[in-house]
Amino acid sequence: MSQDLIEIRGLVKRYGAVTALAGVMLNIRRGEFLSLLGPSGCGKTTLLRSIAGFIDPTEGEILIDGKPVIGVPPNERPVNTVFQNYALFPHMTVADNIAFGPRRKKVPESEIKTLVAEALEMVGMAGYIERRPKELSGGQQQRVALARAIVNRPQVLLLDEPLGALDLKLRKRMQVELKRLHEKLGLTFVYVTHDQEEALVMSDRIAVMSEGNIVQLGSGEEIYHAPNSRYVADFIGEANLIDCVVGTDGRVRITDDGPALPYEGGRAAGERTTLMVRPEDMILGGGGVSIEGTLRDKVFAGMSWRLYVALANGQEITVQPGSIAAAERLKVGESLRVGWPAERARVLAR
Amino acid sequence: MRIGRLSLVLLLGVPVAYLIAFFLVPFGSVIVSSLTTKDGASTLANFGRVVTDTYYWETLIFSFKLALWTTLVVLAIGYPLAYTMTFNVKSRAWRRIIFIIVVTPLFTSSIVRAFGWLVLLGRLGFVNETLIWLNLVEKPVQLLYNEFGIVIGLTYIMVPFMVLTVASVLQNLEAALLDAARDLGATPLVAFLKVTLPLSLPGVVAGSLIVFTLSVSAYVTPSILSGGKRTVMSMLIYQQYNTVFDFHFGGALAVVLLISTLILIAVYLTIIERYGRTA
Amino acid sequence: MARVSDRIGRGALLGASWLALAFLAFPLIVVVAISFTTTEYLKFPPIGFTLRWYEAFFGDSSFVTSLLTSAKLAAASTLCALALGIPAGLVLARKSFHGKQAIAGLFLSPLVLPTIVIGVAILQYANQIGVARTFWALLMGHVVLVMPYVMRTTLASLSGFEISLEEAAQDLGATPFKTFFLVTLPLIKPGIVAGGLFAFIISWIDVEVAVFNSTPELITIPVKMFNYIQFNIDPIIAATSAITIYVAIVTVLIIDLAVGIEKATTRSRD
Repeated sequence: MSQDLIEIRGLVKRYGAVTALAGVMLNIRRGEFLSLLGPSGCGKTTLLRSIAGFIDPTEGEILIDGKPVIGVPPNERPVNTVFQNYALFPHMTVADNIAFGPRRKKVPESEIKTLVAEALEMVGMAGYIERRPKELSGGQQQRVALARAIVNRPQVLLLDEPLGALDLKLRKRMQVELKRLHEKLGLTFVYVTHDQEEALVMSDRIAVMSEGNIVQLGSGEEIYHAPNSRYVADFIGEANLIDCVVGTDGRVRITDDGPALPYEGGRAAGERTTLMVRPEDMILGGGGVSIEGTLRDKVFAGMSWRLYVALANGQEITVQPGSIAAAERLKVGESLRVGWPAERARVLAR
Repeated sequence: MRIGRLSLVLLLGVPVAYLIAFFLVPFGSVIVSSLTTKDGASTLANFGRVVTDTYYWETLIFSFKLALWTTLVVLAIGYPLAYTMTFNVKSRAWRRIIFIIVVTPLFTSSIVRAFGWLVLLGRLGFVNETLIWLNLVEKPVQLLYNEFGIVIGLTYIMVPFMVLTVASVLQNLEAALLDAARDLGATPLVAFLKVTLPLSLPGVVAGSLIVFTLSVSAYVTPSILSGGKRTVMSMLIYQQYNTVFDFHFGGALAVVLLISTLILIAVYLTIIERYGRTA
Repeated sequence: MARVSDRIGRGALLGASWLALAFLAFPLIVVVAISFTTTEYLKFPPIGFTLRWYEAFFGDSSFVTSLLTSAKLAAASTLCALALGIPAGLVLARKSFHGKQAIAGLFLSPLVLPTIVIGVAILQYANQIGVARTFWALLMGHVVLVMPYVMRTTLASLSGFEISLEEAAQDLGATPFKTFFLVTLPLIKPGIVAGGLFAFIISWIDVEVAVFNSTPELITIPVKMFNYIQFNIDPIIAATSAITIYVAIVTVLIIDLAVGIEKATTRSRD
């Protein structure tokens, strides 16, 4: 049994002149929780719907468990979807909604009853069997939609921004519950979201998408700490993208005549590049690598202060130092040194 | 939903085939016969007869005149009602009742509706009796079998169309716009004239053209309420087909009526499109 | 506090609206009222109360036959229109293809063309294919006349339809066929019911198409009334009219219960 449950090879989807997917290559591992992350229009939903079978790709292949599925209608694919707006059948009770899948597979009614009860139990909705969808709150509908999908024990569960319509508090709770459900069921989850925090909290791996392509694939930590492009760095978390110039020694510096920083620019002298440092990795007063700056503004953000510091090249960066006391003493207009542990910054070629 | 190619052909093909066979082809045969003689030779004589005989011109113009009057009266009666039922009737129950009153005539045969007016407008009918009782007239007025009677009858048929069309447009008007107009200092009248009326114009235009088109070609109402004393185009067509049995000349009359109607629909669609683009 | 002029304006508007409603309701009320008059002639307000005109109507087999012909014709046209109009509406709502606008226009054109022209066209065509003045000719014409109503309401019901519901059904293993009957149809049913009732009533009240294909034996109730009214005006015709008004009211009420009369008759979006 191969480790990869889904293999996507060179998937292209074009709508007239618009390219929604531009040759996606992706292997999804058996049992993993994979998030497709990106802004709207990046192709993440198109990719998910291609796996579900609602979209016929223009080119490329999708294999589920080694079998090509292009051309197989959605009702014959071993996948189930949790839809963005839940798509619960409004004319059916919760029980009938959940029994819909098993009934299509001609599971005996006596067994269906148990299956429905189990599925509802699993999502914490045991008492709601005879309700209609419109009598449920958004969060409850969400749980029923989940139960309706998992009752079929699909090989892959596809989730299309399922938490998008919930309020922040409920969303956070559901994130944890989804994560637990994933562990309990051992199914493969493919989760589409534009919310980077959601992706970080739940996923084993994240595929960051842009303009119909996967630009980086890796664990949350890899993507957060070692983004491979400005795009990823900017999209995941908050990042200071410092414009640098490459010196004759190959090192980067903030201005042409400024001091060299201990990072290889990776390109010819005089060319420009980007140094990425996360605001929370920055330390006041230096330590590791440090640079000069002037405090433009400071605001209190609850757990810490946020400092806006102007650099020698005129660029403004955000510093979120761990120490509240040190930041408190600073005055706007003051010159200061900010630094970071050397391994926390990266030069981004793209 | 995914629909296969074969089922697509069946699902759409059968109804389209039906309309071609029993709608387009019959129309085609009307047009063909309007362009042929009884022996099957092609001719423009049927149209020549329509164009050269002033009687037909007068009838056509009379039909248009009736339709125009009807449209104006329908607008005057329908617009205030559409406005009131959209903005001033808050209770759901009342709205329902009003809609039922508006729609029920629409669901009643034009015969029945003409018959109602035949009774009301007669020499000794309710309207005349009331007028006399109110001392407004001394002896019964001639209300039937003339232009007035036909216009009233047609108006009665057409008001629901206007009300429903205008109400559809008014319902989609954002209430905040009216509030904004009032907030900016407009009196209710000015708010109506400067905001509501211009925004409801597409509905008025659409409603007017529906009413005009249907009135031009109405048959039952004019033939009952004219008492045979006045003639409209549709009555001429009926005569040719059901009494004279001249399908060729009848066809020409139908085509003339049809083309004038099609021109109106074209105008109607152009206006709708223009409003659709600016709105 | 509204200004006096505003209140006068508002009062005038309300007054005009009440008059318009009275204008719409009054003739039908009059017809129903005079159907109960005890006089031999039409009298409004009616004198006394009697059901003899209804008895006369039901005692006259030619009226009853017409009533049945009309009912049969309206039911048959509605069924045909549903069978043809629902699939057409489904495809037009769901598929985009070349010439779709033209086909949609073809389906709606019987709504805007003069009915009398449809009537003469059907007569002439029925003559050519040898079915003139038969039930088939009536049915043929009425299906053309009423199909647009079914098509239009199907299209309207589907335009607000959440596509993901069908996708969910297919995702859960339903074939397209099952999806239609388990999910789509139950959800658009109110619209279909309304469209079907519109279709029924349009056929039920039609004169312009039916008048060309009637014979003394094969005649719908509106055409029968139309012929009758040219020679006699008596309370029987009032009773007949009243019966068709009752049918109209019942139909309107059913539509109201099925989808809400307001939603069914305006293009309002909720």
